[in-house]
Amino acid sequence: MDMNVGLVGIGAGIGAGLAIIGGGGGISRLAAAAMEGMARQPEAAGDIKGTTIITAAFIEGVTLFAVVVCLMLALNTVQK
Amino acid sequence: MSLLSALLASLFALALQHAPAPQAAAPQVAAPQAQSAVQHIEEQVEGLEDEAEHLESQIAAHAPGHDGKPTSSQIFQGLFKHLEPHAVTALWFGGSKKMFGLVPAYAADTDGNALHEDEHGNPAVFHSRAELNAHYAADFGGGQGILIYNINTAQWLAAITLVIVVLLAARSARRQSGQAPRGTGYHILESIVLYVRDDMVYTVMGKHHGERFVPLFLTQFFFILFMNLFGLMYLGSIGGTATANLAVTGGMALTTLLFIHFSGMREHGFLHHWKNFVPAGLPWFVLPIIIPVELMGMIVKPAALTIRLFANMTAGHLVVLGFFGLIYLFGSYAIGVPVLGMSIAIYCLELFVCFVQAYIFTYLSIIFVGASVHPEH
Repeated sequence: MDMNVGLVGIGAGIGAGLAIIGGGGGISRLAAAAMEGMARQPEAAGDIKGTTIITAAFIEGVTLFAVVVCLMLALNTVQK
Repeated sequence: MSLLSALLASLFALALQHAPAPQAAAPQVAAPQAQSAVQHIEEQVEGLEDEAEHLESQIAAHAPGHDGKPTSSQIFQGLFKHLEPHAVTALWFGGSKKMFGLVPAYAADTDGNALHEDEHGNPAVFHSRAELNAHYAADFGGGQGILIYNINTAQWLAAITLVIVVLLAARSARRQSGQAPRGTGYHILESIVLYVRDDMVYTVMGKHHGERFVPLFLTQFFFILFMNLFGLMYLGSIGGTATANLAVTGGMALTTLLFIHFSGMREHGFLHHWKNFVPAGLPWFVLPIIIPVELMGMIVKPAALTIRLFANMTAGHLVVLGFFGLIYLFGSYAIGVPVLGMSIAIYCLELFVCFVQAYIFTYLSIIFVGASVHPEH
């Protein structure tokens, strides 16, 4: 029983880490592209900024879904 | 043969201590072997006693506060419980005493002293309306009670503050009409309102369609923002982050869902609005694929809004809680110094997240409602 709880904890931790890797990669690519776009066309900076924040929120949202799943897994299992 | 099996079984029981007692072995023992059977049973009892001791020590290690040193995971879970909504008071109405008013949200005797306490020494609150009714119905001669949670009070606090702020700003705007506006608070509010109207609603929906929806989205933006900001303040037991609760964010997303369909039906008529679900000019054989996908999209939109806001507001609090948990984990005051710095840094990030999440929730709602009002864009 104890080993299963430990395995779930490890799984939840690894899952949260993988979600962070994916989300971080996505947001960094997005930010790099947005900065390049703004540097090339400073007059479009406002539009690019708005779209960047919205897209970053989408990526962040998906990442947080994964983190919430990991959190529920860890808390529900360790409590019992 | 039975002697051998009994000995083997008792050896196993001694060695493993967790193995189930071999019940079948004892009755088979014949009279000359009675002594060994007694010995075997004694050994079994010893094994069970050891097991019981082992289990007791395990229970003692897991029970919070039993030996004064809870484990770090218990501390973190105890801290985590503070993120969950808890009842702060209850409203009772009806009964033979014609009672209408507030009663304690915990089981209390006639003097008002709490009957039960949780592990922190606080009065243990009711968890459901049924528990509340079962406790108070006899005292008031019937009637019904409603539990009021800290997220309810936090929402009302945000709503009242919002009304007061907007009324003050409106009065100031009326008094200063025709002059240059003055006052810091007024300027801040005006710039946010203008940003929501011009850069969010009008750019997505256009002035013609968007004008009707500006009050809705302004209310949505400021209500979420105020709930987020009140969640960062310590307000005793009545405070709490209302938006770190799935029910609250789900309610806000449900408003968006209703407006997506009601404004679409109002703009295009009932049938035409539901026909807009499917892009025009598609061949008939893709309809079985497109219709389920669009139906799923209809549900996923508000669900994503719900979980995004909930997860963002919960995540910041969890990280701060995790840092505070480090103090208990290391059991030293010195660790409090870096923890304080990290907590303040995360807190500043949370302050930023409060604004960003209110902006994103409103902006996505505007996009969804705008797509429903004029789907060709």
